[in-house]
Amino acid sequence: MNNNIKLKSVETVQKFDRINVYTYHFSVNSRPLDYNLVSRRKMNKKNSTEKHIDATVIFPYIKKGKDTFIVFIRQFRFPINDYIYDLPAGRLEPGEDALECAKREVAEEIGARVLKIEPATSPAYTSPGLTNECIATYFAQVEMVGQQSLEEYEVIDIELVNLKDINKFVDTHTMGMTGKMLSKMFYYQQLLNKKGKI
Amino acid sequence: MQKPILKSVEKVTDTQYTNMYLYNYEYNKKLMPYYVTSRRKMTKQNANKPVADAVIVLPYFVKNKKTYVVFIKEFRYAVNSYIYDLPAGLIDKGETASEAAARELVEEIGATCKSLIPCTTLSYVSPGCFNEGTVTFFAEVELDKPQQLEDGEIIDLHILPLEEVIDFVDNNIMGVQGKMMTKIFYYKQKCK
Repeated sequence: MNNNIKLKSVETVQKFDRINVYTYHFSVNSRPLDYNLVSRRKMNKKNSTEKHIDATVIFPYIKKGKDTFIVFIRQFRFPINDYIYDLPAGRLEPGEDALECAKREVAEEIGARVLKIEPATSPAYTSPGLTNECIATYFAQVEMVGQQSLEEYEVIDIELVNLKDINKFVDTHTMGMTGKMLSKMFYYQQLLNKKGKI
Repeated sequence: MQKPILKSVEKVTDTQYTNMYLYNYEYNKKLMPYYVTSRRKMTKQNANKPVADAVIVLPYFVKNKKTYVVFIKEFRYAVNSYIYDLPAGLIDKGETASEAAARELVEEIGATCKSLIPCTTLSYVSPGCFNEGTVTFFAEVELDKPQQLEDGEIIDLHILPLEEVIDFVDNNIMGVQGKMMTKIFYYKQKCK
């Protein structure tokens, strides 16, 4: 691979409250190439390759006797103009690390306390053809302790789904991608665990 | 709880592939503007219609009873770096998701698709900001032809035995779907 790729300049197309639109001006083997992207951050030539986490997604589950239940949320998503099922998720606040953010989102969105938490995947890009948004994902055993504390525009209901029914549930509902995939990951990981293969 | 009502949709940027739209909602009798990023031309009428914009495919093959997964290493302009990932692409006009998956396998890794099974049904990649919908597949492939890359596409293959894929996705920067699909594939194979 002998391609000479250089980011020459970063042009701000427009800034919005949650997201910004940029054009990256590249030179690829001495030929110009312009690329549009969106970012949650303020981008410049220097921070375009910086490691960062914009947001976290948490897969919360509760243990009740021999059963495991997944805590899904049903939320009105404005970009979709509809209610969809999903997992608690949210952006990091200034000065917060990913783990703190995850615990806060679990408390706010489903009124739960984290008992045990482990990364489901290491940080990764949500859609690297379109955006540099990078997220961390977690599996979290929780206990439901209190009330949600929602922002004015958030419309969130809670739905518990038994782990046994999870595959069918995610295959037949409209959801966010991480919600579907983390469900399947968790399901097969637990199954493997049961068989004593992990 | 009242459902927010979409009153109007305005296009606010004019770039070739991805644009910002302003969705004007009314919620609890108050106006609530919300910016939405989309690959499609959005209107008030199509705003709640689920559409698959893209496909992601995990290609694998079996050789001497061992299973191998085919990753790609690609320069991603939006993150100004080479990253590992799985083959993926936009669904062309008139194409089904399965057809797009088979085409991407030919173009990006030079493979013939022998069988295709769904990993997840249509889902939203990042529904707080985007309306992008994606369908994902596991594909058994045969690497039997040259890649057909577009101008500006820079893609190398990285083939790993199944035993190594978990460490690989944990230790490398990738797209999140690629990481999750790889883990689902691994656990599913091991459960057999």
